[in-house]
Amino acid sequence: MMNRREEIKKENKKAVPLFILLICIGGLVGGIVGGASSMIRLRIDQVFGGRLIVDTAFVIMVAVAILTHIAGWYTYFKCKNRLKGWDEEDEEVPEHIEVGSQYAMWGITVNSIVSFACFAVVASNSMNQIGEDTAKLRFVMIAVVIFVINLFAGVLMQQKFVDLIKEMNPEKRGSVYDVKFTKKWMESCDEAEKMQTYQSAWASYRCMGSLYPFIWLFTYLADLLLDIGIFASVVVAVLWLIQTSIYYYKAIQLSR
Amino acid sequence: MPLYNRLKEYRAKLGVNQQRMGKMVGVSRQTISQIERGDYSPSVTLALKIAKVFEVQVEEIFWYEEDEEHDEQKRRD
Repeated sequence: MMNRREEIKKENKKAVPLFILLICIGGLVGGIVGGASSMIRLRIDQVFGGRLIVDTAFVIMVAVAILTHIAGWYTYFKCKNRLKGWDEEDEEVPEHIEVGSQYAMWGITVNSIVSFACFAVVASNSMNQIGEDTAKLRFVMIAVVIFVINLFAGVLMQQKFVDLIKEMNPEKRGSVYDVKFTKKWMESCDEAEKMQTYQSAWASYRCMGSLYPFIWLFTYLADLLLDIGIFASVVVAVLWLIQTSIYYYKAIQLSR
Repeated sequence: MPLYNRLKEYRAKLGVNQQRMGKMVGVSRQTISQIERGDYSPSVTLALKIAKVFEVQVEEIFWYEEDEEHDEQKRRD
């Protein structure tokens, strides 16, 4: 027992210097930036409210959507053609389709997130000027139409890939249009597939756990420097709290 | 990965592809492929199901061996 205690103490002692160093560096950087912020305080509108930012966000939204749909549909038809010619013997074909589908799903999700972010920039900066300018109204309406079509087309493409996977794996269940899709899909996965999901979720949890302090710091500094208000940093803290609480709640439930 | 297997060999003897093998034991083709490559260690239940299909003891298909890399890792820990 004494040996184990010493081992634990030794391990903690080994980690402490780096931990203290990181805290000191964090404090130093925070102090410098905090102090400097009073000297270089900017208005957020000067940074994000300009016409250039709105136009850039619009172009990014459209460009990412077009690229995603071209690459996604190309991958879909390529996978579909390979599946048509599959004799259920060649192991390379299903692997190619599975990897292709996963990349496509990733792309579709990234496209949706980019679309949400860019649409928010376009809409929020144009809405308050709609009354003064009909061209602005037209611009916002075009952005709304592109945004909605893009999201629906994304869901449609997702469903097409899910159908392809279901065709190849008859045991898979669920439709993207169903609100319980993820639950049904997970239930139809076998132990190895579930393990893959758990490992991916764990990687995501760990990554976000390390990122949250930095994102919080970033939003906090943005408030100090750009006067964006504390809302963003509070939202980050709430998300951090939700993720951590769900993790511990589930871990306690499972350990019983 | 210290768990080794002869699944591919047994499957070939039975003359079934990965897709069919997966159906026989209630898992996907991908999982059979991962087990054969040694990328995934099946649960005891799945290993027993696989052995049952071939009507052999589970140890004839799966066996555990400490490898050098694993030993080295343990020594470092």
